[in-house]
Amino acid sequence: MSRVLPIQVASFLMLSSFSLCQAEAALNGAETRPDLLEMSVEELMSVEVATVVGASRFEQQVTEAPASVSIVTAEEIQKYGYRTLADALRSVRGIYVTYDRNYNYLGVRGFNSPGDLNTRVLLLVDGHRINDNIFESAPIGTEFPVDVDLIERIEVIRGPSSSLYGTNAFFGVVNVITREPGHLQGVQFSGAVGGFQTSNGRVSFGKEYRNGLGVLLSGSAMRSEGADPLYYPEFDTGGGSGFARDADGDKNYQLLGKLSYRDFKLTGALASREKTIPTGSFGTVFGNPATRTTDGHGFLDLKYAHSFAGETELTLRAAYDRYIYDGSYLYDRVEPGGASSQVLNKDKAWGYGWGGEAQLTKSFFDRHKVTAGIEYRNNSRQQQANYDAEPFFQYLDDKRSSAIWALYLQDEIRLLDSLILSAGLRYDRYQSFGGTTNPRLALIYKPEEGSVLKLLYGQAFRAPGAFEFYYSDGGQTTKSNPELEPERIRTFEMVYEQYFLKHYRSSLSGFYYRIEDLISQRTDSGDGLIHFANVDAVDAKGVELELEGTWGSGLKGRLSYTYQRTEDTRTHSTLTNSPNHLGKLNLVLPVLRDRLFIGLEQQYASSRATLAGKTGAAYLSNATLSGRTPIPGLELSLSVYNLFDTEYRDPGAAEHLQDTIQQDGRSFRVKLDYHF
Amino acid sequence: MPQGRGFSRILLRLSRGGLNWSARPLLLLCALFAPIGWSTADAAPVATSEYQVKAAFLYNFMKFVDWPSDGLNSATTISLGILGRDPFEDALEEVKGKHAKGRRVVVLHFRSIEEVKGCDLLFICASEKGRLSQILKFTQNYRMLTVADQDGFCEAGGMINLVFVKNRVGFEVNVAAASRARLRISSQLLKLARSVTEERP
Repeated sequence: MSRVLPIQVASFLMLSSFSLCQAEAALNGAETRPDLLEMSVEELMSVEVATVVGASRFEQQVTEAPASVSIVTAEEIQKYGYRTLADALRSVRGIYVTYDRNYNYLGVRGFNSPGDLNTRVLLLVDGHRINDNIFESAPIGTEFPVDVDLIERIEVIRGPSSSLYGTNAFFGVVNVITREPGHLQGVQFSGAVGGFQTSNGRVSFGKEYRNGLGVLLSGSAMRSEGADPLYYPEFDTGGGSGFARDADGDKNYQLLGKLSYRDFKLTGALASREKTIPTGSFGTVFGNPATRTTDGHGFLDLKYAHSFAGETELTLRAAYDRYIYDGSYLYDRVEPGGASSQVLNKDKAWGYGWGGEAQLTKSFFDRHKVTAGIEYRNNSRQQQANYDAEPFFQYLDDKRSSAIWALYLQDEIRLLDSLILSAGLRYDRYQSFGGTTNPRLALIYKPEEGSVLKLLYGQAFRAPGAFEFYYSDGGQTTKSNPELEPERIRTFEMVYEQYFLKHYRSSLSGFYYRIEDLISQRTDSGDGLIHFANVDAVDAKGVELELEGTWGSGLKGRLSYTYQRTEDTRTHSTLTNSPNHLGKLNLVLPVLRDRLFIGLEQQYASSRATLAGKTGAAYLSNATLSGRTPIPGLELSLSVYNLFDTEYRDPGAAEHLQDTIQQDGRSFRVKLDYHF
Repeated sequence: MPQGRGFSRILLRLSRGGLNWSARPLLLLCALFAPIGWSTADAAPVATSEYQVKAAFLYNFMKFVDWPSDGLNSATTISLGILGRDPFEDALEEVKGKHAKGRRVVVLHFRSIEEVKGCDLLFICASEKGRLSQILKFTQNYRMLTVADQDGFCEAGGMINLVFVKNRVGFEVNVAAASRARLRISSQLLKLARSVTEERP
């Protein structure tokens, strides 16, 4: 049976049910607007308007943003039972997530090469940069520093945004907007238990007082025993071996605090996650829980935002960041005499930094909205160490510090009432490789109410990180390469959105991305040492279709399909872990009006090339039943993940002996939320 | 992130492909999804713009604010004035011809405050921010409900300010300014206001 067939059938059925809705809506005779005018003031106050902050660094309507934007709301996080940021992102059009049983890796536009560390997407929390300054990674799994229950919405901004944010805003920006003190107005308790002996809990308090002071305090903890046992035939040497037992544990804590008063807002977050690695990666002893990693993220962010007369807004920000990575890797060592022992290798990193930025947004002559900003970041500690614990032997102890400053300017020009030109440019200055300038141009045309056409051109860069520059093991197998240059991308994108029959939004987009000087691992033919180098060039192109519908009863649905092709221009081969087809279906069905909902998701990714072969197609369904109980303030949700217990696999990276890594089968979760 | 000194000792393997699996679950779920949709269909837009919502607010204000008996300019129409650069695009088209206070709604556009006359509700656009105190001084002489969507409008003596917070539209009210013009804002509205200013500072 063809593997493409099911998604076609699904699309057909889904479309036919949508078209029934259309016919029905047309019969009702309400062709244009929903009747806002018939709504009460109270109802109007609950009508949501789709806006995005991260695309232009000021709040604007999604339809006027100079990028293709998707939003995941708090309501969706609840109704689809998302446990992590990765869960929420994998529902978004064109995005796929790969899990190697330690970290989740984000695939955008067909890029998710095994070994990449989520460096080409910029992750922000309320506009604050989260990617660390060692590996430049965006943490999206259980190591993400904010509990997903505290997310107000997630903005996914596709395409390069280096013209506003500098490095890492290469394929896109994920801006996570967290809840404000006033959203809580009281105390919340949340607790969940689920499959793989997972339990987690949260206590939050939030209040906005009459004098304008806002306070939010929240603490969460999670513990999971993980899948037990996990079987990997690659490690099966007979006699019942090949099983990793008690080796998939995961635990974390996440603390968040916010203090706001008038124009000032102070946010602090502290989180740490420890994950046991069951895969025997990096040649470690298979299935031994001593091999584990701990990632700790923390930041403090003080923001001042003031609006002056004449549509002028000033934002000042000062921030401090701390990232600590602590990896333990257990190795078998054979002594010269033939005796064998085990040695624990420690791999550590400290990424500390502070910085500040100032931004001014001002409107001129009714037609210009100009944003200008200056940013400074000081990476005060970029330290990497690697040593054997016992007997002690140091392979690496590399301490660095660096600084970056940048200037940016963006002008949103209303050429006509129906035509907007958004032009942006940013200059970044690095101590290592010097300066880089990156523009973005967007033409946004709204020929009539409900139609939007966007033509987008962008350039972006990704600066090599401290890890790529300086990681080495003292010349045994790897060496550093301080000569690295930034990676570069140029993109063209076209987006057409049409709103119709009052309940529907459709979008069609096409993209062409060209990447040069991609940083990859290479082996020096002279000394045989592995290092990073600017070697690869890649082309990516594709089309995306999406249909979305929302109804007042709480019924809503979203169906998307992505066709994409990536090509390594040197070898003319498709990249590894780059599916040609992606399909997503999300549906919320009201069971009891305003009380009980079913959230259903389906995700499909076609076969992906791996380092040694290929994976089968991946197909995943999740279902969540959620609603209010008769007890005031108590909400309950029941989720089933991988509803049909399908077997699917993600590609392994070079550090894995497994070419593909099996993902979790069916699991359950029960969650209770109580607020008062 | 995982590295370990072992990251370099990697052996690339040359074997194994992926696994295929059945499509049945998907078909099952489709069968589940197919019959939905036509059971429920009512108002909740996919793409509502900020100013469509604000236009609906203006219409509600006409319904929930009481003008004194001699207050409205015409016996058959109630007029909504837009002063400055109109941000509503087409959103006001649907308000035209609706009825409030037993009168038909008409929409008037004014370029400057001197042009303003015969208007019951005046929306002061953001483009007029620099001339706000002058405008409010002028409107004091009329039974005119002043509405805007700019920071500090109520503090400056305006009556109702529309605010856009967390993707939703809300409003602030300056009761004192309204009562000086002998306009009565219904308690229903006051209950829903984000903030109520009793007296002008």
